[in-house]
This record gives sequence, structure tokens and C-alpha cells, in this order.
Amino acid sequence: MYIIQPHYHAIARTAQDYERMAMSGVVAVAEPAFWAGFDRKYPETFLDYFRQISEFEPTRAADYGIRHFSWVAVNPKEAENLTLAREVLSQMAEFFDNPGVLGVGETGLHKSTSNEIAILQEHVDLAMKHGQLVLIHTPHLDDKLKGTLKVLDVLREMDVDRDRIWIDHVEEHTVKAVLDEGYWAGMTIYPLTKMTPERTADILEIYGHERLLVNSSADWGPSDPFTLQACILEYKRRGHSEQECLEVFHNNPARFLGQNPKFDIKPIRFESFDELPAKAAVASST
Amino acid sequence: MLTPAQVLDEYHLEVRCKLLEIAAIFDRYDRAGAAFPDERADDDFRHERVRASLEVLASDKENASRAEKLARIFSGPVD
Repeated sequence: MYIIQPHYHAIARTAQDYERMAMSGVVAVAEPAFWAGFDRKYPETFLDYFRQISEFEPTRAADYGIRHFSWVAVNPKEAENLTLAREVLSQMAEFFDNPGVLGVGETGLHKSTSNEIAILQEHVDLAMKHGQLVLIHTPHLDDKLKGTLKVLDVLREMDVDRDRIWIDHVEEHTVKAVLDEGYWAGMTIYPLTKMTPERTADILEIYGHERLLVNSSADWGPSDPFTLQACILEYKRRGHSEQECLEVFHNNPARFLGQNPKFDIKPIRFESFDELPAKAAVASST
Repeated sequence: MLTPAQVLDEYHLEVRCKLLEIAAIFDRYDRAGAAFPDERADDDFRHERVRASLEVLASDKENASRAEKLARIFSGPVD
């Protein structure tokens, strides 16, 4: 199995994660910028953080044969500080030239305040102006439905390319609204909150796999990168083929992220030996 | 022992997660029934056990020993 983990916070995890992910078929991870567990005070702290995820983390992943990509943003929790967020935004575009940076994320909403909404709009504007992909975080638990609908309201008022926007952390009550408006929708599998492997497989069966991404968003909190593999196992147990698994867990991330040419991992298709020309089949067996 | 508020704080998300999982399983069963109408299993004895368990869970009596009652519901008969 070939797996792309499209939402993974590597700096919060040990090298053992990389080792085990490599052993389980993960070929690439993408790391959005996120909240550090405390509110940062200085713009320079963000800029160093962006350097860490865009310059240093790829070297750690490479030790295990995994490609590492990243995103830059001020996360919604810290967007409440307008001065700080705007100082960071003013220097964010410099990182778009980095060979592994795919776009702006995770921006989004946390409590859906007016400050958060303003900074979300500014992130999306910046991304569109520079032809970048966008990854949008939607709130947790009680705030999920309201916040997701608010994100859609905000985007509806903007001039955006919906194919290039991924709205993350959808659940049963928000996935349809996101897909209906033409965005990519991400499901995050956590041990307790967000989705479970089984419910994620349900949504894949109900909606099909077009424009759906699955991730673990493993970070410094209760989380586990291998909830993604648990979902693959659940999907297989229900009789879905290897190719269908490949479509969901490798090819869809490759399709979305590949809209940025820096992400050069292409969708792949299994081919059986009897489909190969005779010479190729002989060559591959020697 | 935890206080009632501490129990809520500690286990509310776990309850939410498990209830959602049960709801999703019921939905899954319904979708399977719609997809395979000739293979419906609506008279399977396990449905009755689940229904009886849900009634126990919905009980608001204190000291209801819900876990023990559910364990008995899912136990075979005792001679």
C-alpha cells in the first residue's frame, strides 16, 4: 500500500513515527502550521517555526525515505491578535518560494470571532494572489457546525478557486455542505474527538471518494498517526479493493496537493502481470 | 472517587464518541438493508438485545446498575 498522510504535525512527534510510517507504506507527509499549545508573542517566533517545518523537517523525514511538504499560516487561535497576525502575514509570501511549501494553512476559525474572520480572509486573499493552495481548519466540537458554515459564508463572498481549497475536519453534519459548494473536504481521525476509522469509512461509502481526503493530523495532543492505517484496514475489511484504497489514501492527496507543481507525486494505478505486455512481464519476473 | 462534575469532565467526550459510533453502526445497518434487501436480518435476536439495552441506558433512575443490566441482557440464559 502507498499512503500519503496529508495533515501531520511532525515537529510534535518523534522519529519513531517516521520509521513506523515508512514501514507501513507512507511515502509523503504534509505539515500545516498550527497552534503550539500556547499563544506566541513575537512574529519572529512564527518565522522560525516556518523555517523549521519547511527546511529542517524535510531532512528528518528523508532519513526514512518519506517526502515532507509544509504549509504556512497563523492558526485561528492566534489570529485573535490582529497586530501579530498581520506582521506574520506581511512576511509569509517569502516562504512560498521554498521548494516544499505548498500553500497557506491551516488558517480557519476557532471561535468564529470577527478578528478570526478578518485574518481568515487575509490568508485566503494572500494565497489567491500568489496562486497558492489553501488549507482551512474548522472548529472543534460545540463550535464545529457554526464555524464550518461561517467559513463557507466567508468564502462565498470572496473570489476564490474552490478546487484549490481544502476544508478540513469535516464530520457527518458538515461534510455535505463543504462538498456541495465544490471544495475538497478532509476527515481527521482522532482517538476520541473528530472522526473514527469506522465513521470515516461510512462517509467514503455514502459520498464516494471524489474530493475527500483522510488524515490523522497527529500532533502534541491525544492523537495517533496510525488512525489513518486503521481506516485503510477498515475500508479493506468492507470489501473495497486495493485500487479503491489507493484512490482514497494516495491518489486523492496526490491530486489535490499536486495542483501545486512542487508536489510531484503522481496518482498511481495497480497493474496486474497479465495486463502487462509479455516482454515487460518477463523482465519484471527476473 | 471523582465528583459528579469530574466524571462529566473526564468522560463526556468518551460518551460522545461511543454514542456517535453506535449511531453510525445503526445507520450502516440501514444502508446495508437498503443495498441488500433480500438479505435483511430484522428478526435476528440481537436487535431485541440492543433495543433493551438502549432502554436501560435511557433510564434516569439513580443507582440503576446499568452496566450490570446490559451484561445480563447480552448473557445467555442460566439454567
